[in-house]
Amino acid sequence: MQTYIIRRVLSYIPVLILVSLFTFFILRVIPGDALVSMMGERQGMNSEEMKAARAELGLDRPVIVQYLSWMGNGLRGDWGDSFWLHKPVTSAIADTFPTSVQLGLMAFVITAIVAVPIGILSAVKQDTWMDYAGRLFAISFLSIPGFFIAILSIVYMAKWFGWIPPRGAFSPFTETSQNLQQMIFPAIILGLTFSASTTRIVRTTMLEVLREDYIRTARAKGLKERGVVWRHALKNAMIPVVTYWGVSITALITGSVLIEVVYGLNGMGRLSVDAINQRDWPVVQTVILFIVLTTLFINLAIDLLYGVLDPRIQLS
Amino acid sequence: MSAADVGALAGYAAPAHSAPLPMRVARATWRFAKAKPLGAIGAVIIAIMVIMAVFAPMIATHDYRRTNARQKLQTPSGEHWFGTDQLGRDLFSRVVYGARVSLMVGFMGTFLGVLFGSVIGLVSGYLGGWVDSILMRFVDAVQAFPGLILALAIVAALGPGLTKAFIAISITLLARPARVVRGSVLGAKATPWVEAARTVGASDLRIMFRHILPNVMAPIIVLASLVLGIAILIEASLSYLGLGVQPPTPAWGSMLNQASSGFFETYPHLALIPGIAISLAVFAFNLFGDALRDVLDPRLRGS
Repeated sequence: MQTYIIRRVLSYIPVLILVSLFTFFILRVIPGDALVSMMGERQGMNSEEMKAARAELGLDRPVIVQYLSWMGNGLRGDWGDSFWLHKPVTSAIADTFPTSVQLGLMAFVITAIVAVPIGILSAVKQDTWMDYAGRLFAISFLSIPGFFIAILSIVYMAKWFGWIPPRGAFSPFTETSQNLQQMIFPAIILGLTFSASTTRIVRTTMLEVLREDYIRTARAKGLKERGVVWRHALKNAMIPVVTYWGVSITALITGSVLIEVVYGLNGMGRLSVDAINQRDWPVVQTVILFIVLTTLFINLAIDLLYGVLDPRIQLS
Repeated sequence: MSAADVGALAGYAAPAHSAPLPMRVARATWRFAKAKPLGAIGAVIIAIMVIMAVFAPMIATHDYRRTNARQKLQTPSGEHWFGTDQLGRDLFSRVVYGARVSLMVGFMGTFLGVLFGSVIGLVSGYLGGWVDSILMRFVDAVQAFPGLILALAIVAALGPGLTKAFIAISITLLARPARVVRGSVLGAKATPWVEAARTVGASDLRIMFRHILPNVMAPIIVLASLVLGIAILIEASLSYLGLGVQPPTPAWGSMLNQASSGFFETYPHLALIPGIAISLAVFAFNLFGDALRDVLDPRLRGS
């Protein structure tokens, strides 16, 4: 077990190096750098001042030197300063990470509450109106962009109920009420979007499991249908679902980016969109690396969870 | 690939000697429609959108660029079927032209993504060894990125625009085709016909492209049809953020963005129409892709 975890963590190193190289160099493909996009702020710089400013930001050095110094300092805990926010990248991440985690967790809970029962019902009552309703739900939310629903929800909430979500940053612990008011609709929208694909996976795996021999055995020995479905079938059907959740963490993050933008939430998705728009490279490259690292560790945690879900799976 | 080939892969085609090609295509299409009515509905919506995109200049009732201060923010009418936007431009014409961008970026992004992915998967699976390790680490790295953020970073680097949008989208999409093709290649590599080809001295390239590739086409096509919806969603997101096709060319995502900056509270059709257009396109590709998957490759069910 321990060697398994160590080996997995070690295998992340090449992936992280590739990701960091890729983002670092792709961000420097174009001739225009951060300075050019900052020109709007500091009008009337002459070429001498530009040169000095560039040197100050370290943009005059060869790209490979910039990369090595970024990584070198980063490994010592210094990921550089944002060009725009005038604070260290690490504190920009620390400011926005909790909101994204909260949004992700809430959306995930909603997914589990919504998608698992619908998927099971759809499978158990295959080819009835309930199945069709479940599948229609899934394919609809798979097709309607989350940010479109978000825009509609904001406008119609304001129009019909005169309700506007509070803007700003609220702690979930001390300002719980405002925080929840702000987060609940984004979380529901993200959760429903994520439920769409989950429902389909739950349905298909449940259909497969219900045809297994041990289910027939369970029924034959006179167990109630409810017990068969919830105790015997569900546990085994959940394994591919959990795998799917692991690989689609990135989809959840993608979905949250635009919802954060539309709702003006202070999360990492909005941070990265703003940073990309402002060519704030230190923020972009570090945030991406951080998101990828988080994804990899969530996947590791899920693989470890398999052992709990299914004793037959031996991690080695 | 023609419809007859698709039918043939599905085991639906009539015997080759029986009827002329158009008849066989028509029959295969009819059987597909009868077996998968929802898929057929998807195909019809896609066909309508493709016609809209191709014949946009003939279908559009107005010049999509022409602003008209006296006719701005109109609700749908006989003159302007979908109303007009805040600059008085005809929304129907803009939606029609928007189909061009959406489908173009969707198709090209998917095509290139599946092409890059398939080549990587093919080479990786066939050669194995260190080539396989390196290529698969690259695929791991691409897959570890959240799609939209990767596309945003690439577009930020390359600059906004149609071509750049679909290049960015193709890179974000290549991981899954690469994995699926690699898996299929590993299976095909062990088959007698590949061994036979090798025995008669066929080169690696020949074996890869003449003997293995045709045998992994079915999963590639299915995957492409399933990925198209995602490509269209990413395009809509990019243009919503202003990083897709640039004005005055209309894209559904950027129309949604313009609408949400204030006007839409009093004129909801401004956002509803482009939003519904995006949803309908993705919906159609999902329906069609699901049906195609069931017919062509039942093994991919649930993926």
